[in-house]
Amino acid sequence: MAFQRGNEEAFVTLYRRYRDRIFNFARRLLGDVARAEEAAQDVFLKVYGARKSYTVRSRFSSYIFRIARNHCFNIRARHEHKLVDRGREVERHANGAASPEANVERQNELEAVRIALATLPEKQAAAFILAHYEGMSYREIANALDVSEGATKSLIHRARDRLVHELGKSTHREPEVIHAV
Amino acid sequence: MIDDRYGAVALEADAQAHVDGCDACRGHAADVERLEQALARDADQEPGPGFDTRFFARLEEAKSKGQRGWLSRFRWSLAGGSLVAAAATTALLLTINVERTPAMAGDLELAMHLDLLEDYDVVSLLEDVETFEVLARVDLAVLEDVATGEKR
Repeated sequence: MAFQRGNEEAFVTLYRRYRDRIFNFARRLLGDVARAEEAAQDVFLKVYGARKSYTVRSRFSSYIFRIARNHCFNIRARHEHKLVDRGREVERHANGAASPEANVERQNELEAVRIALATLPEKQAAAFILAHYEGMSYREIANALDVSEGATKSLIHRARDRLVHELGKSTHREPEVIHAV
Repeated sequence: MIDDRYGAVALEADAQAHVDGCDACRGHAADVERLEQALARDADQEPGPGFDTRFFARLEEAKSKGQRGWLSRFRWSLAGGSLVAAAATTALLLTINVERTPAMAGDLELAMHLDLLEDYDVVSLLEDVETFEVLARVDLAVLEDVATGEKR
């Protein structure tokens, strides 16, 4: 690839092409915008630093998402308790929320899904995000996550089941008090 | 029944009748539909303002660190080579068995009493000490007496 030979413009092109995708992948996986921004920058720095060792065995998208996945998993491992705490907080709010206002309910659902995504088991979350938001094929996801295609299907299926379950928990409640989340 | 491919809840036409008459399946389809809607609301965002500026500043910093790292490695390789050579020479000298001459014996004695030279107050009181060789032969107890002004 051109950027491996020190072509800065090629790197900038890749950066522009993948910036938002990596940022949003990290945001959904980490459930935190500021941390996702930092993580996305780290990923591009890693890509730049490892440009000479990159070998074209798979699509570049699989390569960069693999780096992003590993980096985000490490961050999640360091901050797992905070995500869980935040999930409980949202659950408490949802317990007492369910305003008759439809927009409040939708906001609660959105927040519940975000938290559920960020607290799914790592590979389930990554596989689901890559499939749903990135539109990647099973094969691409399998490459990015270092798992088989069969395992990829299973991860996505389990992730969806769990998200449905979590969404149901946070929305099937009696309306009481409105809390801003 | 419900298509397992992610991205859509694709109900086959011939299964629709079953879903319509099955509370469990209908409930599950509704849950999945609600999930789809919630996920759709979580649209892609752009990173915050200043993201690119911060990133390229970090990249430049990383590049300059990389260059400094290269120079540093180069310097250390030179320094490392010198240190290895010096260590090898020292080891060689220490291991070679050389006959000791009287002059060398004096030097060795001096070396064994170098700690005395570290006490400059003591040395300054020794007016008649002109050479290190003499100093090396002075008894430590005598030096201490001189320093304290006592006589044996």
